[in-house]
Amino acid sequence: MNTNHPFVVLLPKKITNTKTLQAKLYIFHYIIEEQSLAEFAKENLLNTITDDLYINEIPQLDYPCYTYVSKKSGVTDDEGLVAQIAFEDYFKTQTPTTTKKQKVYASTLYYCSNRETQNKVQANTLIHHLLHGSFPFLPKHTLVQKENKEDKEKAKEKGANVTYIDAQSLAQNRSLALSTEEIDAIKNYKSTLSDIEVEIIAQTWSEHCKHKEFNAKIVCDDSTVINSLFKTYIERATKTIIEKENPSWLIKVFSDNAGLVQVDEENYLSFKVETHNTPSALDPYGGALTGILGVNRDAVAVGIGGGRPLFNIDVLCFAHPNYPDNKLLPGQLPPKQILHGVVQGILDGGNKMGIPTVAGSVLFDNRYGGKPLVFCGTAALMPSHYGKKDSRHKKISSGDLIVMAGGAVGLDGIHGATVSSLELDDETASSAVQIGSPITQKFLFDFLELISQQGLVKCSTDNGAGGLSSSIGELATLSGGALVDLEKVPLKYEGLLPWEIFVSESQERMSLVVAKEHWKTIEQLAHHYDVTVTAIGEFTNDGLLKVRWYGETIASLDLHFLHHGVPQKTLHAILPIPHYCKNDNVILPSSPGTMQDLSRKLISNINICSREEIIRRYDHEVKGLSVLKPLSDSAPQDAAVMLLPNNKEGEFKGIIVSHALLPQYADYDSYHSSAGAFDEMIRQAIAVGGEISTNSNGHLPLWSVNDNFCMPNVVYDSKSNPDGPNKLGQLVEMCKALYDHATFYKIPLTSGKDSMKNDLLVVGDKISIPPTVLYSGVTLINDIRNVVSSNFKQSGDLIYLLGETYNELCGSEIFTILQLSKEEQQKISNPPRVRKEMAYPLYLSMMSAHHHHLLESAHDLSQGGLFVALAEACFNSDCESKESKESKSNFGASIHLEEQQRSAFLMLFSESHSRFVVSIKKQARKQFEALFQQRATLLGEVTSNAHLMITFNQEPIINHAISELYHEWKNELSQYFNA
Amino acid sequence: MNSHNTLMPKNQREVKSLVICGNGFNCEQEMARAYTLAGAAVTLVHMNDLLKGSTTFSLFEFDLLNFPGGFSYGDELGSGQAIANKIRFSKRNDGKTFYDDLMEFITRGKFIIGICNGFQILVKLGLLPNNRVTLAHNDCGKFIDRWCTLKINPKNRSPFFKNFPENTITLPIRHGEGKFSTLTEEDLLLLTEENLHLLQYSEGDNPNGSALSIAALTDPRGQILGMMPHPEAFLFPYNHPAWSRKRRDDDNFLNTIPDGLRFFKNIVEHIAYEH
Repeated sequence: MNTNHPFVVLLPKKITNTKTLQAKLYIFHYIIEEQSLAEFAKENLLNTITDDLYINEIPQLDYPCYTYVSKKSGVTDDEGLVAQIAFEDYFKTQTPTTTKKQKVYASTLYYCSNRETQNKVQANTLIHHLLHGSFPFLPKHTLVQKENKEDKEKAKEKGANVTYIDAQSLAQNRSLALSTEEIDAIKNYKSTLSDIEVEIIAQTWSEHCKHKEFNAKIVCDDSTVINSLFKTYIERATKTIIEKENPSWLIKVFSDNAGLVQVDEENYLSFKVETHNTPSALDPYGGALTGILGVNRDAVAVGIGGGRPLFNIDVLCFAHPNYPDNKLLPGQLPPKQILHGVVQGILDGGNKMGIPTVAGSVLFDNRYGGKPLVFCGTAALMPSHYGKKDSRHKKISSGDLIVMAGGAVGLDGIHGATVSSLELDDETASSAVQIGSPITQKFLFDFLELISQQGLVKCSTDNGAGGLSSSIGELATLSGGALVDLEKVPLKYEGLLPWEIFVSESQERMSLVVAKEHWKTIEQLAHHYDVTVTAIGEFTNDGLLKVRWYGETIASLDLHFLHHGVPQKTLHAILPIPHYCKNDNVILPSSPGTMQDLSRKLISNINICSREEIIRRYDHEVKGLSVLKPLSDSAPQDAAVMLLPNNKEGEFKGIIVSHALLPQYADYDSYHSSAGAFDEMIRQAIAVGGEISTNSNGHLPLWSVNDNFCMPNVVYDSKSNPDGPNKLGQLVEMCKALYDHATFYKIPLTSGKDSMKNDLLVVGDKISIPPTVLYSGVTLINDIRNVVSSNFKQSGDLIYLLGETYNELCGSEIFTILQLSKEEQQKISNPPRVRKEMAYPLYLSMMSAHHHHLLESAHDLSQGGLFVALAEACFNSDCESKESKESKSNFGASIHLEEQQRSAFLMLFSESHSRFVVSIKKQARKQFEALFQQRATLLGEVTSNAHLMITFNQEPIINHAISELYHEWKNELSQYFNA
Repeated sequence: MNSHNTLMPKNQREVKSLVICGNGFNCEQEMARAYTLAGAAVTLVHMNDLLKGSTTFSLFEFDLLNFPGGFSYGDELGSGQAIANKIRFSKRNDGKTFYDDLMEFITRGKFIIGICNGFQILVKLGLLPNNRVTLAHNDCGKFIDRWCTLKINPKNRSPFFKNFPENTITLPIRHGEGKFSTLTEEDLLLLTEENLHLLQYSEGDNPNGSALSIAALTDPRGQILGMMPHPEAFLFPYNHPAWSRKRRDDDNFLNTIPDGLRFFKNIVEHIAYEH
């Protein structure tokens, strides 16, 4: 079908001499008179101040050519949908919400001055149709080819649309990511399978869903055997803490969509961090948007569900945005484009859902050029009880209805789970990409909260990776079976094959479990609040997952086989032997330049400089609960602090959110890159006023931590991955560090996720990420009024360094600036090591210092070491003064380093862990020094002179005006956002 | 969804405030908290209950109607436009629209307040003050979250901006479409001659390119108020980005009523005592 439909054009009024001009088009699949359409558009679409209106006419301006960007069929088009709602209201042509077929399509026409500007139009051909041409232009809108009125009739014919095959041949054609052993297991279970059965198994057994590598048997080169990394290290860490401490606040771990802890008498807090790497590599905007919306659903769908999201965090790893285009491999998007797209996706997802993005990180390393890492996390608050029911449980009985809620199903997102488990290559199916719809999800969440509070829903779960197949397959284990009538699933368009419907990952859907007696009420409420709900089957207890298509059974799989039939993998690991040098001091191969120059380069280094350009695009204050923001008082803070919304009058309880990842050290010592990240997460919280176990009064402070491992391929292949076992060895060490530190500090892991194949493979070339683990933690703070921020408060205050500095510069930012090779670095220095027995008493002293209000500021030392921490502590909002370089009322610091054995270079730039820069009032000196004793080194004081001045053994080595330092730090990243 | 406050000062009549929620609004919780802390009785009502009608409440019992911040319908078609369309054209069974209710509400002398997305909606409805003004995309082309200090126009008719030291107010802005623009220069002139402009970003700090740095408007009687900054995000001194430095510099900082809360207290006091 290819016809001309009526359309509306909105053209910006102010036509200045720009190279491109962007017009908005709405195409209507309605039969309507030009005059009526004009009247509708004038009232509903046109902003008379900014735009001019044209109906069924493309005005030809002084631009010779155009680029037309429209969305491919089935791709989320909220703009078109909202225009359609307005159209239906205006003409009273309401279509029932249960069959919300799209009839209005929004697209964009770029007027271009030449070919070059045409090519600059950003679009992604995976989701967009892109048309370049010369005027005149008339928009044509093609519907998805699959739409065919006869399809529905055909579909009902017995046997149609389902093929029966043997597993082997299918596995190769459809990127199902099944191994030979797995195909054998399937063959042993059933000789002939329907296509939908194969798809269900492939999806359920995908790495993404079953974590086969984290559950594999690992044979190490020292002949130790690890039976599942997850069970041995991650789960056992939490179990050990439960056995020893039995914390009453630990409600649910690992077994649901997110970890659950109890933050006060009436509320549970769920917390989940996910990754969305592959989708973000293919379509950065859509990948990040669906990532953040998806993890929102995880946090909301714990236990009964219906919680309210509290905050988001986002951690991103990219190649350097200045990466040259001519070095890109086929299939690799420019890192700058990925950066822009991902940031836009996160801001649309978070801002439109009304969830503050309270914290995050961006790390640049060209090894993330093949697959960027996009970590998305969400916490939600759920009432601990709905009526008398404890909300933590998912209870399902045979006979309960399976209800699909939210958006309709299309081809988008088919095979997302299995593709994520493959290394990317140039043949990866484009249907793995989806665009999220924040509106649909916001409506759905409000609705779910309402029906949960009214006791109408038994429990809920997210339809994420693997779609219905995954969510129903998992829920079915709770009742002992499920029966789905697939033809009832609402579709975006007809013509989908049954297996496609079942595994589609079309977004913004959840599966609800509803007792039959509540169904009518739910249906009515859903209609009133414009949410689509459909009963598509019911739970059973016959041990089977059954799927019917117009009455005919097309899949019947034993649940036990489905969830426990996957053969355990065996993998081989070669454990790394970290290289350590014995030098206490660092002797550089050549003169690095002056400290003055080096320190300036460091502050504007891409991994040190301000993230303000990104932070201010995210609404980080919605909900009105923020206490420490990512840039409070214009200075970077160590952790986010929020008030809890349910405080009673006079209560000031809050949460601290911290996180860390240190992949830059993994090549030197993977154990300590993981240990260091865990330590950093703790010390960030300690800096602002958080607590850890004191081992004395039986009180265990509440923590909920997510671990997210992202690895390059760890499976040996003689040609494509000969060093797989070495990478697996690194992973083993990282998991050991997790166990050692979680149990040492009694901080439990509650949830997490791994992502295992983060490589880009193109003929002859491969880009693999460094082994990366992110720890994200939430902890409670009893009184947020005692929170201490990172920056100095008044001149005259004394500045101290807490903790010890070692020759630990391998992987450091300063060595990156000096462009030292790995071998050169190892020869002269060491990677930062965590000395937890030393760190622990220091953290207890910090808690005591907070308790006695001794600290005016506290900032943890991380990338860039002491110099960066000192500089950042000098920043505050007075540095924003428009007369940029002329400092106003801000202040600086005068620092005197005394050191006989080691160099200023080491003291200022070493990245040793477990250290803080703090400032105190002069009158607190005695009490402070008595508390910290030899762990504290007096560095100098805060000065009214707005300079950071550093001497080394009385020799001046650094003198920066704070305003200059501030602007170098602040402006570096912006250049990659301005066109 | 009701939360009634019992901490009412004596000799004051109860102020009843309705806060709209649903359909993409997302600041309704802090808006409700603001009225509760200010001493009013708050009811949250879903937008669809207003559009489609509901028997559980009567709009005209309320003194105030609040459109909170958020992304109604995801801001598709332009911020606030989709809800404005709904309000004007979505008819109930009785043939009336919510726009008819709004007109009645205004006729009865009650107050309407729109914050951020709410302001955008009131503008798109043509209520502030007519359909010759708009809030367009920020000049910088991006969403911004930051704190601003704004000047209060003492000649504006809104009764809610008393007792602000030096006639300034400090609040966060969080929007991508906040550039105040008029169809013609004359429209701008007329509007300022009538003193419909209520708040202006302080000099040299216009974050979005607004004409005359205007950040808030009222109708000629001061009954309908729309503002871009978020007073409901500054109810606690601890919301201020520099609170932990300011408390060191100013012993009184933590005891001063935050600007956002003062605004809501002014509203409640005005209605309870004078209105």
